[in-house]
Amino acid sequence: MVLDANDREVIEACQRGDYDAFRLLFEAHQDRVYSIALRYSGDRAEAMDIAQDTFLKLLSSIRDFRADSSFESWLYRIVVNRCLDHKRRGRRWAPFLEGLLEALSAPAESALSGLIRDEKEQSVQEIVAKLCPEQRIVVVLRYTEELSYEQIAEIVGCSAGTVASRLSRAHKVLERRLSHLRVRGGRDA
Amino acid sequence: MLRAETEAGWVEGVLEQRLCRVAAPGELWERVQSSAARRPGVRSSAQDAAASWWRTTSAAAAFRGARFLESANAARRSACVTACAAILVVAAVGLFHLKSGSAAQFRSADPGAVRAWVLANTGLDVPLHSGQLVGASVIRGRVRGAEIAYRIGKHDATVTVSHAGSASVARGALVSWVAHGQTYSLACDSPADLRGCLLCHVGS
Repeated sequence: MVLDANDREVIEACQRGDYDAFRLLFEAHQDRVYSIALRYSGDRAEAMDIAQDTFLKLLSSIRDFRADSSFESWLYRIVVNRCLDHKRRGRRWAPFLEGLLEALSAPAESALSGLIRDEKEQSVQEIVAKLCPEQRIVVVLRYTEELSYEQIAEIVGCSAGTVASRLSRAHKVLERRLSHLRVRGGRDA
Repeated sequence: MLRAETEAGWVEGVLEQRLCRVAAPGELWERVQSSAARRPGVRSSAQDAAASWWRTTSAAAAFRGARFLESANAARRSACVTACAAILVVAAVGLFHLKSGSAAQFRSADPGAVRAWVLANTGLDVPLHSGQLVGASVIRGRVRGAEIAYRIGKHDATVTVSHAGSASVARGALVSWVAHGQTYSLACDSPADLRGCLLCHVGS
C-alpha cells in the first residue's frame, strides 16, 4: 500500500519527534495491531502486552522507516516479530473470567447467549493459539487481516509457496480440532 | 479432491468469522504513553521537538523585549532597559539549559500525554485542563518540579508545580496556591490574560 500525502506528513512529523503525530498513527493502526496480537496469542492480557511493545518499538524506530517503502508492511513486520518473540504466560483462567464479565455486562443480549458466543470465539482463538508459531502467524495474517499469500510472504520473510504450505497444514490440524463447531451442511454453528 | 475442497472451505469459513478484526481497548493508549514517557530513548526524541519549541519561545521573548525597548518613551527608558534585560537573561538561561541538556522537556497538546509524562518524570500528578497546552518540562535542582507551558492567545503562560512544603520553584509568579498537596504558581508574560487562566486553574 502506498502512503498518501497525509499519511506521509504524519509519519514525517512522527520522525521529527512530534508526539501528537504518534498519537494519530496509533489511532489509525491500534485495531489492526491489537487484533493480530489477540488472534495470535488467544489471550487479551497478552495481546495488550504485545500491542504495547509494538507501539513502543514503532516509536523508538520510526526514524529508521524510509518513506519509499510500505508503512503497513513495516508495521506488520514489527507486530509479527513482537508476536513471535513473546513468551506465553500462564493465564488459563483470565480469558474465561474476562469473557464472563463482559457477557454479564452486555445489555443487548442475554448473559447466557453472550457467554456462549464468546465461548465459541474463545474456543477458536485458543485452538489457533495452539498451532506452531509459523503456522499460527500465517493463519492470523490471512484471516484477520485478509492479506494475500504474496503479502504474507513479504512480511514473514518466506516464499508464497511456503505460506500456502503452512496454511494447508494449519487447515488440516484445525479441521480436526474445530470439528465440534461443525454442523451438517458445512456451516458452523 | 472435492471432499478436500469442501473441508478447507468449511474451516476457512469458521476462521473468517471467528478471527475477524476487533477494536483495541481504550486503555491501550494510556499504557503506551505512560511506558513511552519512561523510556529514555523515546523521551530524547520528544525532547528534540520540545527543544525547538523552547528555542522559539525564548527567541520570541527576547524579540518582544527588544520591540518594547524600542517603543518606550525616553522618561521610562531606564526602567525598560532593566525589564528587557531581565527578559533577555531569562531567554539566555533557557537556551543554556537546552544546550546543556539539564532539563527534560516534552511537547504535546494532549493533556493525558503531558500528565503521564510529568508523573513519570517528577512523581507529580497534575490534573490538566484542555486548552492551548504546549508541553511540559522538568525543573531539576534542590527542588524538583514541573513547568506546564500554555499558549494563551498571543502570550505564553506557565504553571509551575512542586510538592507542597518544598521551597517555591517559581520565580516571578503572579499567583500561587496549594491544592492536592501540591503548590501551583502561575505566570504569564501578559498579566491581563491571567484572568482566563485563573478560571481554570485556581482551586482545581
